[in-house]
Amino acid sequence: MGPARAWLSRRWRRRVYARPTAEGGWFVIVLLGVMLAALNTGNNLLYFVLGTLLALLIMSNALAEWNLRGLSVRRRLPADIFAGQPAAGAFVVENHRRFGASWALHLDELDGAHACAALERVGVGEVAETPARWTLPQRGAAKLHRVRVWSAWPFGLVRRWRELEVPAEVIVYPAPSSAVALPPGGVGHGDRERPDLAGRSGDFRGLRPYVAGDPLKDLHWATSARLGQPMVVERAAESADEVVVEVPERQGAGWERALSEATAAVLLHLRLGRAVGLHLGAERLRPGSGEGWRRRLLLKLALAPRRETA
Amino acid sequence: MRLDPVQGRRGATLALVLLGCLAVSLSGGLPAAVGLATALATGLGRVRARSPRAETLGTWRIANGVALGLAVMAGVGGAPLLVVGASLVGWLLVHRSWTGGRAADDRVSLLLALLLLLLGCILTLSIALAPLFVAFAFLSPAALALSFLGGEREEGTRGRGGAPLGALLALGLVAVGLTALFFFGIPRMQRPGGFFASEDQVTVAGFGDEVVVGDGGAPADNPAVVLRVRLDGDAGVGPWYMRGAALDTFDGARWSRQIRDEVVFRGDRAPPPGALRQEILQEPMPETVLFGVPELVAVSGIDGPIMRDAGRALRLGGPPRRLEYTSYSAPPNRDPDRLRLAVNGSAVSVSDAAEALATRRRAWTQLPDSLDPAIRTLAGAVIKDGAAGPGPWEAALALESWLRRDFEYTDQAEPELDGQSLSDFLMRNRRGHCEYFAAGLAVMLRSQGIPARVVTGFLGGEWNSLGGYLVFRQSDAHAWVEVRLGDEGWVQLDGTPAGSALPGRTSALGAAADWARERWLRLVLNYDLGDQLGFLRSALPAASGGGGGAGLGTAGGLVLGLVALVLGVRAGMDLLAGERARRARPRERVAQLHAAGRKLVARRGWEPPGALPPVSAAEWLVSQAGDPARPMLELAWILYRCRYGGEPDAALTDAAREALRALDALPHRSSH
Repeated sequence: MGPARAWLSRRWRRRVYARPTAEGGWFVIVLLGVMLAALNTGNNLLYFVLGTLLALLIMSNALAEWNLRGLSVRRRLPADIFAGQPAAGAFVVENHRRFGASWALHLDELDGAHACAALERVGVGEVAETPARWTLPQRGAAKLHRVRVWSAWPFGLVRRWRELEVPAEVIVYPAPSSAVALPPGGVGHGDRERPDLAGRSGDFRGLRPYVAGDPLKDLHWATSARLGQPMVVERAAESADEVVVEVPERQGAGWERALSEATAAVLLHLRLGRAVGLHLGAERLRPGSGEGWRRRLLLKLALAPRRETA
Repeated sequence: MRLDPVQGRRGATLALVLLGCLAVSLSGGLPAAVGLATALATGLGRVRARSPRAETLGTWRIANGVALGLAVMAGVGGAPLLVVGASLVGWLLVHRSWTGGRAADDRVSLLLALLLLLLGCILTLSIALAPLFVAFAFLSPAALALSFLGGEREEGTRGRGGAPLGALLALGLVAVGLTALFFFGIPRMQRPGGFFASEDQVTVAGFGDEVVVGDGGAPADNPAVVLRVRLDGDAGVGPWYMRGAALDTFDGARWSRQIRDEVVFRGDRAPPPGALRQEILQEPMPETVLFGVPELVAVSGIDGPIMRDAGRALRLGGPPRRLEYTSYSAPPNRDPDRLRLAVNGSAVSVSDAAEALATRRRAWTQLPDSLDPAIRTLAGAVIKDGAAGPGPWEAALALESWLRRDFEYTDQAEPELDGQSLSDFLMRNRRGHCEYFAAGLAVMLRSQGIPARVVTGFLGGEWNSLGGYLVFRQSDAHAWVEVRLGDEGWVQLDGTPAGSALPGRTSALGAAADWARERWLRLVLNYDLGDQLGFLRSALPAASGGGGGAGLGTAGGLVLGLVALVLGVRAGMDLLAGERARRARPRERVAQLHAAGRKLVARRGWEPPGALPPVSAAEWLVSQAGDPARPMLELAWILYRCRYGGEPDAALTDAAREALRALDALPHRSSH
């Protein structure tokens, strides 16, 4: 295939979509009316108006297409995404063209996630960031694929869009249940308290493997060097409270509800400064605290296998 | 330099509205009053530029109803529809400018301004529209772009600074260029007509199929242009008689055309070598006669059949219209000796049917019974005194010389000449305008049995040095005589002792103004398929190969058509892809109900920032409107449960519908 043919083929198969806006629909109706009147009367002044309308339509199409060329999009995804809840992040758009800013860009997340954002202008060579809030429907590992970039620039007559492949993977935590609240004087989630494990604030409790988010000061360097993997020191919580959240065995929607309640409980107790452990099926996690621990617990809850109703 | 989108769009929209008003006003009369009133009221509304209170909206609604009712009544009552339409559009513009200042209102105003411009196109063909059109094409992109940007900001897109003025001006220039390209490139249909057909205004009066002797003073001072004639470079200096119609019957006061025989004129045949070429731009006139220097032998550029009447005038059917055509004339090279030898009464060509010609000959020597016998006596005396020979040619020359020598030409209205009879003119006053001279000469010739007729047309004109053409005005209307001399045919005589029949000169300013109008008429109003083919021929002379213009035009049209087809298919595929993508999404009743909720909220004047997702937008609404907006929040959550929570659409539809119903209690923002 020669270069000209390849170029032609590329141009022909470009994935650009178009759809007239409501104003564009009216515009086309007026244009057709003027065309009919011009053809019917032979009045050249109507041909002049028709020429202006056609010029605007052509310019609208051409500029809208140009507006979407040479753009790349990245996501700056939020650290925590809970199912069904908007989480703040950002779209990052870069204009790689050598000429001409991009105007009035809108970005939509496709394929099962909801996120939208808008940008008024991305200049030549500029990288612009615009906030967006992602909403993903279900807990677990979710794959994001395409982002739609659209614009009705310059006249709002034709909406053109491109669908860019921007693959990414995110972990969606279960939605924290709003039914979980702190009862007076203790926890209220049907889990058992572990007062016997309570100790003095800062007391050494043991060692465990490092998880992302653990403070570096908790690394136990000697053990890490001996075992060949980073290990951190676990200490008793400062409040001396330790809680183990136990997820009851249920099926179907009940199981998902239980995970939501467990998530809420984990978040609540950690916020209160308690060490939180988790019993999830056969898995037993001893109470711990810190950002890394929090993420570890939420990850366990997010990736818990689904249990369909029999 | 950057332009604030809000201020910029308001300014550009107002400018376009004023252009539309001006376009309507150019036609004068009632439309002008409508246009000016609209411009004034719209301008005031724009200056005021604040949102109306809720209670005034009701008043505006009533006023709109009244305006619509009045328009319908006026239309039914027989008022001109265009004026009624302009008034209604003007009212809608005023309403929009007083009640809305948002980008959407400006877009509606732009559409209404376009409608006014269209009405202006139909109401008038004035050259003053030219700058309005250019300005409209130049400003439209900026107004639309600024309006679009303003709308984006209203919907919550965060803006950084203004729109670049240079880019907007460049867009305007591109729009003007593309407009010109489309204007000249769109193939024209040949035959205008139909419901919306706007006829050219008849600007020529006093030229027709009759001449009333003593009633010809009106056009004398009329400067309205009738013909613009571009002659071949070696045509000479004139005088140029532009022959129109010939009149065959005289009833004592009026010359008219009674012989109605007409034959099809083959005007498209090749002109003889050396024929004088005249490019003629002719204003609409009641009787569409084609002009040219005698003898007219070929005509090109006319769509439709041309008829040649018994007076050798070329006529077109149909309504009056402006014409642009090329006449070819072969001025007769008369041999004085042959004219002298021509015998009166043997004016029968062997090729003509003898009987028909005899009938015509009787018509060409017809005189009313009431004719003053003294005229016949006078003619005989003049010929006896002045003729150099016995033949009809010498007799005609004697009469022509007598009139030129002993009479005085005047085109001024004088009480003593007002309505004078032919006898008074010939025997007492001896002063008058060209119709007296033509009628007098023809009657005197006929009284001697010499076939003669009165011919009307134009003589003299002004030379426009800027455009290189002759301008004939209505005041150049002229009448002269043709006399039939046997086999020599019709020979022209003019008894009018005009001061100078050579073309005059126009002032520089007048020449420039008329040249601009001529360009406007030729390049804009009268631009047609013939011009397009002519342009193709001149642009590609090698390819045209001389006579292949039509084929070249067809080929050019095919190429343009193919390009348009490819672009159209491409755009159509984009559109189809968009439609398919839209349809590929599952049909969600809950989503539709949510969208209906968003529309209801917008109608009540609450518009959450457009970039917010549904729940955030609803939360914003609750923070602004309070509890009445909670159903919208509920609706948004139902949407999330359906779209992202995996709950079936059908199970949530009732709840969504209930929430939408409850949302109806949301108050209007202006009354909140």
